[in-house]
Amino acid sequence: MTEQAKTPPKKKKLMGAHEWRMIIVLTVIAAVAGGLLAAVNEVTKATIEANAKARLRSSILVAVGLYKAEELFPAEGLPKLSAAQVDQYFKEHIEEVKADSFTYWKIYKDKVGGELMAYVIRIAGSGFQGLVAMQVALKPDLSEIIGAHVVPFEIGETPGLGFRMTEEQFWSQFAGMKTGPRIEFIKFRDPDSPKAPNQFDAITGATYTSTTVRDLLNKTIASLRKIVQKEQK
Amino acid sequence: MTEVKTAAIPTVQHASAPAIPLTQRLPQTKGWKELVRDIWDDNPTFRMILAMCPTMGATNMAINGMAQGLATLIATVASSVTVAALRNIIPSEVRLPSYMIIIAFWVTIVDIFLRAYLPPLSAALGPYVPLIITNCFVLGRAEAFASQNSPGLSALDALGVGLGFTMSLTLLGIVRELLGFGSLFGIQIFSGWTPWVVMIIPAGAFLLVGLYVGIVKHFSPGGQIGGGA
Repeated sequence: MTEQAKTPPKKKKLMGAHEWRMIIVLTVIAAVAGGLLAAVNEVTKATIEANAKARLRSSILVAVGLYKAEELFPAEGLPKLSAAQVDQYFKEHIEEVKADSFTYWKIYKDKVGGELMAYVIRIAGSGFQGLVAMQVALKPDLSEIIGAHVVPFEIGETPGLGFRMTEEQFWSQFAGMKTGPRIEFIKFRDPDSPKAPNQFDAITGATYTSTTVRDLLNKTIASLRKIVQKEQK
Repeated sequence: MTEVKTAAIPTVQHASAPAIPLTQRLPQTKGWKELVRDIWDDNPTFRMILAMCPTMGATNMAINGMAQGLATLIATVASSVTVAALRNIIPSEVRLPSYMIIIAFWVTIVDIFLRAYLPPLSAALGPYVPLIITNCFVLGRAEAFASQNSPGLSALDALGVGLGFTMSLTLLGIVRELLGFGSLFGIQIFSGWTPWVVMIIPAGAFLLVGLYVGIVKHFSPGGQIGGGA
């Protein structure tokens, strides 16, 4: 009570010049920042999308075995094919098909609609802490893997562990693997001891990553098999 | 600690005297002193123990640490200059939200440019570039320095902090990459190296940061009297 008595009630406007200034300054700053960001985003959007597309397409060419990984994903210098050349090849030889839950590519020997050389699928999902993704080329009857490729810098797994799926030693072992009855992985294999044709070597210390790769492969190949069987009927 | 040190710097009267050559004149200027103080005496990582999130997360390789440091440097300098330029316009009641918008703006610009023009680096740094927004020292420089100083001086101050941060992160990255991968900036140094996995995961960064803080404290004058950060 005494506190209130000491300070006489002031007649003050709710919104004085100072309050208006606060609102206006903050609004203007937010609007200018938002507007500029939208503009920058608009300018760079095409480049970002083109980068991702070129990476995926180059990776598909590596998986099919048309180019070596170091030719299209060089550690330094420029890739052997420009993005435009990759696009040209895609136009002439490759048909992109969007299924319900995934996209696959039909690779033709000479021209689109001619003799089928391979199917390519992209498997992608969450691994231990980030994205696990791989492009896999399969024979037209889906019985055998022709080759695979992993785009190094899109993988979000632990460096030194799950990230080792980006090493050629990992993805190159899929070439020649049988897909039936289902793909499995093998742990702690002695380098000299044999492995079954449907097995790949897991990454030491990254069982989660290997499991993700195995499950995504089996699931996506099964889905593709259904589509292909329907087409052939 | 920061305030004490700032106050200790004397205002230099003869800074613009033409007779003294630039090499001697430059270390006497206020901006230069700010720069050096921020790089070493107030090093954000090893003295202030600020911005630990990217320090742990983005230094498993030298190139990642350096890129993270440089991205932060650009964002800090740009935000500090903007804040300094607008310091007389922004009412003090709304200064923090204003600074946050300005910082978020610049960090997002850096992030978009990395994604568009340096996609491998952007992917390696992952979420740590957008997280620069929450780095305490970016807001700290805006609040403690840029809001009271000219854009030029603020740029130097932010540059000092950014360089100090880049240096610390690169140092951490160099040791972690050497021990964790046996390589340096992606070039294999030790052949047949057995990787120390602990150096690759964040635990290695904790160990190293502790070690570095100890070393810096031991060798810099402020360290012995228990001062510093």
